[in-house]
Amino acid sequence: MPGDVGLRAANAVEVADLRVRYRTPDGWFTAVSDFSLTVSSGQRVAIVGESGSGKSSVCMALAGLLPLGAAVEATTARIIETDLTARPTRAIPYQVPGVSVVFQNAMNALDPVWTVGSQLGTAIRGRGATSRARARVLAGEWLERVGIRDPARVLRARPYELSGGMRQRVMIAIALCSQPELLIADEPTSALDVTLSVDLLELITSLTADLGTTLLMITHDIGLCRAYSDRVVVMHRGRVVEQGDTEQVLAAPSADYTAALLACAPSLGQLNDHRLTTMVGVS
Amino acid sequence: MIARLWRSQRWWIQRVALLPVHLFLFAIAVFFLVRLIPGDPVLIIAGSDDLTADQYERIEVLLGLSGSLWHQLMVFLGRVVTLDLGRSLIDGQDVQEQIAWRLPATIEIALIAMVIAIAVTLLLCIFAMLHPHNPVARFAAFYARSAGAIPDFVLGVAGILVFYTVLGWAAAPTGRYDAGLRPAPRTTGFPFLDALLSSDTVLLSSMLAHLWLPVLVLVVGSAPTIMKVLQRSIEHAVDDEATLFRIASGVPRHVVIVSVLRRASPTMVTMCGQLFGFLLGGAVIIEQLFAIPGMGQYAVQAVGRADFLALQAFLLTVAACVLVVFLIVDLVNMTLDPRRRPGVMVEGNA
Repeated sequence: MPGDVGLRAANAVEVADLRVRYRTPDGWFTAVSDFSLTVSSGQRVAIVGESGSGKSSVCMALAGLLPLGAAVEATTARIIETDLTARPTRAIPYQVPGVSVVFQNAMNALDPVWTVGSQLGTAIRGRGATSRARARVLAGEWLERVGIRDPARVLRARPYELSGGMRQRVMIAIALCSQPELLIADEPTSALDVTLSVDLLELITSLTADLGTTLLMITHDIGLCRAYSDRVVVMHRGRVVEQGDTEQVLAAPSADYTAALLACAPSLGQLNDHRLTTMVGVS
Repeated sequence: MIARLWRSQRWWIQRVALLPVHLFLFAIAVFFLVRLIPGDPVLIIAGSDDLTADQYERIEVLLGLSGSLWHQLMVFLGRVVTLDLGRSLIDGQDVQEQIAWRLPATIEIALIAMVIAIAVTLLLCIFAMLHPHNPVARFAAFYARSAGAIPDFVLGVAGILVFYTVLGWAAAPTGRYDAGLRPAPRTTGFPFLDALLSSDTVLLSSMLAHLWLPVLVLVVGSAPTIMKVLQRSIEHAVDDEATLFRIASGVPRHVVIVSVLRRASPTMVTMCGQLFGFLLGGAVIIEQLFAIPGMGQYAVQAVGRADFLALQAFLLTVAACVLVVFLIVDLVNMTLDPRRRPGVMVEGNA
């Protein structure tokens, strides 16, 4: 069961030679190839890369949420206790047990027609036998936990009635209330302003630390990794160009691409650095 | 307290309050529409043009055609408000009485057909959503694309030919039940419902034998129009990030499916409103083909005999029905998707 620390596998993610392809009218398009990653339980890993580097494809593949037109192949692909290669693909996918996802924009991720209380309540009840009334109480507590001051009002509200920051907090509460073993955060704060981003990243990392949840974060901001990840994976054009301990990679990048990314990134981590560099022809 | 209640409930109160306004505007439209019919209704009804001025005037008054246009409009609206639509000058029957027994009969068939069409559509669409590569799903997609390709009367004639003439599975297209049977005692006004309530099994089985084919024709002819719309909106809703987030948050399967359907259904509900209009129109053809007495037959009769008052009443009634259906559609949609309520501001959609 999620949350039961004693039974946890040592590695939350074990992926080797992952390849993700999409069927297009002009044949197969390979978005990710030769992707290997091992994440031990409780670690915080950041996948960094520019748009189109395949980082989102990796993330959706690991969450088991790719559409029917996508093909996922790998020599090993174990997420928590699920072997992704042995799963049948479905038009409407099933959740990979123990894996939750936080998306970039809560306005799209939250269901627009249901109240926050209903969405949070169904996520809390999940497959479990919690009563409706109990789930309601827990939902209120979760809203407080993600820093919402008037949970009673927010529970009755629908997503479009909330501010952008509140929606993002609600989404984090829904993703974490089932106490997942792995949280995949796909650019969780890129749609927000700087101060809010920092607040929400603090929130995500502190909650996942409390729950013992492994965190896999996708970002295009390499500076963010410094504060919020233990390990970093740098991706470019569907391949891993470098991975390792965050401190080491950021201090002494071995790949040219990483160095270039570091030099040109306007980052929350380096707000004092006013000069930006433009990246020219690095591959 | 009252102000708060008003603020939270105003969306539907306002919409319901609009209904009389719409009805009023439609009544005026009907007034002008029937006056556009070519020919002098007085002379057509009298059947000859040698009338004394006195006779002419009397018929004019009975038809509500005397005096200035403004005067006629006032007389007409007065009659509509007091629900006094007159007595047909052709067969001497009270127009309102005719409509009172014909309307439920037509609505009943249209409603049964609509409920079956919606049920079939939902089942096929949900199945196709879960198993898009299954042959049944492919058939559903093909069938939906055929929307409106075959007109009702072709289906009706083909149905009679195959199921009555060749196979003999359906009863003769001679009305709602076998000649010689007595109708069920009138309790609700809806003939089939009355037969059910009367527990007259002979009448009921005769009705089933007579009605399944016309209902089937209406269903087969109209289901693709809503299926096409629902399939497309389900495809969009499935691909939404909201669906992925629901799945990833670990809710049971049925919650995911209901979530997709609720986001996809407003377009279908709107289509169902139009479908009801189609079905009322289709009923005109079906009632002729199967000799079922109802509104359609009445309208055809009225046009054939240039029965001015009957035609006017028919148009008013159909317009009122359609307006009520549109009201229901709006209320259902505003309940399903609160963003559709007036005054709701949504980012990127305001």
